[in-house]
Parts: sequence; structure tokens; C-alpha cells
Amino acid sequence: MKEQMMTLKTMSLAVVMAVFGAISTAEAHHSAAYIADFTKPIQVKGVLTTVKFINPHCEFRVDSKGADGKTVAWSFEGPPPVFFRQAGLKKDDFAKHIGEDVTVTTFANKMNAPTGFFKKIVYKDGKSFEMDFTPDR
Amino acid sequence: MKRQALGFGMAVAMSSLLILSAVESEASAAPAADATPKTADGRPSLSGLWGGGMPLAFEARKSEDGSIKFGFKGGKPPAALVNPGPKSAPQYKPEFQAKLKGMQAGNLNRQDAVFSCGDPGLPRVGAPQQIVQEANQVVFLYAGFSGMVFRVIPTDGRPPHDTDPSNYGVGAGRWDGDTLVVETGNLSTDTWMGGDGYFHSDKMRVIERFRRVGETLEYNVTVEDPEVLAQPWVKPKLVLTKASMPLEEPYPCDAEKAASAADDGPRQLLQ
Repeated sequence: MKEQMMTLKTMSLAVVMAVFGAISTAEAHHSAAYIADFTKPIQVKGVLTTVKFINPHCEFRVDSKGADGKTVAWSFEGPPPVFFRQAGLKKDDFAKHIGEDVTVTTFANKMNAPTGFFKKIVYKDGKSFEMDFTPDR
Repeated sequence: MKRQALGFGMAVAMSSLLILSAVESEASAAPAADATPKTADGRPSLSGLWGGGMPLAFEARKSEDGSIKFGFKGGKPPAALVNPGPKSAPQYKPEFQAKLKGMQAGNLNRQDAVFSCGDPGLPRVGAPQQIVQEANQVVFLYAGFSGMVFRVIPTDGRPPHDTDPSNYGVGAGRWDGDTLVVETGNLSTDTWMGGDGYFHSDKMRVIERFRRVGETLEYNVTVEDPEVLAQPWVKPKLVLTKASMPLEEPYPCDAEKAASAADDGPRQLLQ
């Protein structure tokens, strides 16, 4: 059951990220599958520093303190801003949380770079924003 | 199960934006011809917003505690996205196949101008998102991830202006019955004809055919490049639908960010 659920999550994120990754204009942009390991969800805790509504993808940056005490600037990639906008979401819906301690769920970067696809963010007040693309929902 | 999951994702990755903005149609439920709007001079009217503007529908579902889940409207991806069907690919002459394979084996992100906010060019830009039709010309408008593009296509036979090759070239339009045929040449080799490294020569010509059928617009594209292609590349027909969202200036494209992401990993071949 656990494996099934993981597969479903893997599949749903693969779908949406492939969708987002496939879009530039009329043809493919870049592949999500080569960048992220969708079998390895990870959480990054830190301070939300930047929200960019910009093409080709939205970007969220989080300063996270590593085990060695050094701060690492993480960058998380979301969908194109027009997708959020179409659902009635504005930049400020995210940007109003800048400066807060947040927890971002992403997937491990295959190159061990501090970047990843934006899956879920939990804000300081416990409320969350999640990309939900379960196909058979 | 895992293989199925990845296969599903891969299938979606093989789709293109055009598939999102239009549905390939084998059997079209064509309305009566007299339902097709006409211009004052009796031509089919191609004017309007096409492709759905923002064809993928999303929604933000708010839970009781104020948390939000963002996903496809209705919770399911469009069928055309899940099952896009076979993808069309240009057939290169044998002497150019090694070059294509070599490019595809490398990091296409780094080679792709679009990845760094460059112009997609023709025919990669896809179908126009808005058409403004006048008696002597049509204007094609696009607002994409790489920025804004316009093309002015004469339909009155006036000679093309003298210019160096460019990303959208020089096009000329003519009516073939109720179909507008736009043939474009003088195209720069800086662009690709498709996202998987499909390079072309300066001999490439792109022939687009637009046919209004009721409230739909059929869009056919043939790419001719006798220099590098073994045969013309006939792309699958698209049937565009009327869009409701007006065309707007797209968000700026961050070339620096895109470039920094280019080395995150080579993208898979989308074939």
C-alpha cells in the first residue's frame, strides 16, 4: 500500500512536471525526469527569501541552514506563472510569506544541487500550498 | 507499476504545447459551411483568438484550514495530454543523421536558444494565438514563454521586403479556395524546426494552411528543406478552438536563470 501510494505520488508529480517541463512555446523545454529523482522526496527547512513570477517557470528561494551551520540558498522551480494566475493565484499569495520559516517538499536533485521542483510548502502558520496532480483523483 | 508510472510521465513529456492548445482531429464534426463567418470580401474570417489562450484549466482548491491544493480543474488532466498519440518527427537525409544524433546525445538545453529565452522561430512557435485579418494582409500574434512575436503576412501579392534571413522569415499568403496558404522562407538557421535539435538549412520553407470551419480553425504545417530533409515534414493537423482569454504581455523570461538550469541535466529525447 505504501509503495502504491508512493508510486501514485511519483506518477502525479512526474505528470505535472513533465507537463511544465514540456512547455516553452510550442515544443519541449527541458525534462524533469533527468533533473529530479521522483522516488526521493526530501524536505528543506529554511526562510523563504524570494518569490519570482517569471518565465519560463516561477521560482521560490529558501535559505536553509545545513548541518555544518552554513546557509545554502535553495531554488525551487514551479510552473509558468500563467498557470497559477489562471487558478486565481497571485504572486502576493506566496510573496506575503517572505521572511517566514517554511518547509518545502521537493525531490532530490540528481546532481546534488540545491535546486528542485516545487511540490509543497508549509508556512509558519501551518497552512500549506501543494501541487496536486494525482491523475485518477 | 513503477514502469507504468514513468511511462505515463514520459508520454506526457512527449506532448507539446500545441497538443495542449489544440486537439488533433481525425474525425471532425464539421459544422455546416454557412456557419463559417465571412469577411466583407467573402473570405472565411480567420480573425480572433485561437487555441484556447490558456487551454489547460487549473484550479486552487482551498481546504477548511486555509491550505490550498493546486491542480487540474476537475482533478484530471485533459485526455489529449494523457494520450497525445504518436509524435511526428522530421526525416533527415542519411548524411545529416549523425549530426542530429550527436546533438541529441549532448545537452540540448545548452544548444537550444529557446532555453535561454531566444526565439523559437518557425514552425516551432506553433499556431498563432490571435489572427487579425485585413483585406490585404493577415497579422499573426503570439505571446509565449520566450516573449511576444508578430508576423505580418501580405495576401495581395505585393513583393516581399528585402531583408536578411530572420527567425520568422518572410511570408506570403494566398487563398486556395477557402484555405489561406502561407509560405515562409528567408529563415535564419539560428532556430530549430522542433524542440529536439531539429536543425534546418537556409533553404527551409514552411507552408502553413489555415481553414476556418465553423468555430474551429484547422492548422496544417508542412516543412520543406531539401538541403537536410529526406522528405517534407508534414506535421499532424491541429484543430484550434476559439479562445476566451485575451492575449497579454507574458511575464519576462529570465535568461540567466534558464541558463543556470541548463546544466541541471541533459533532457531526455522527446521522441
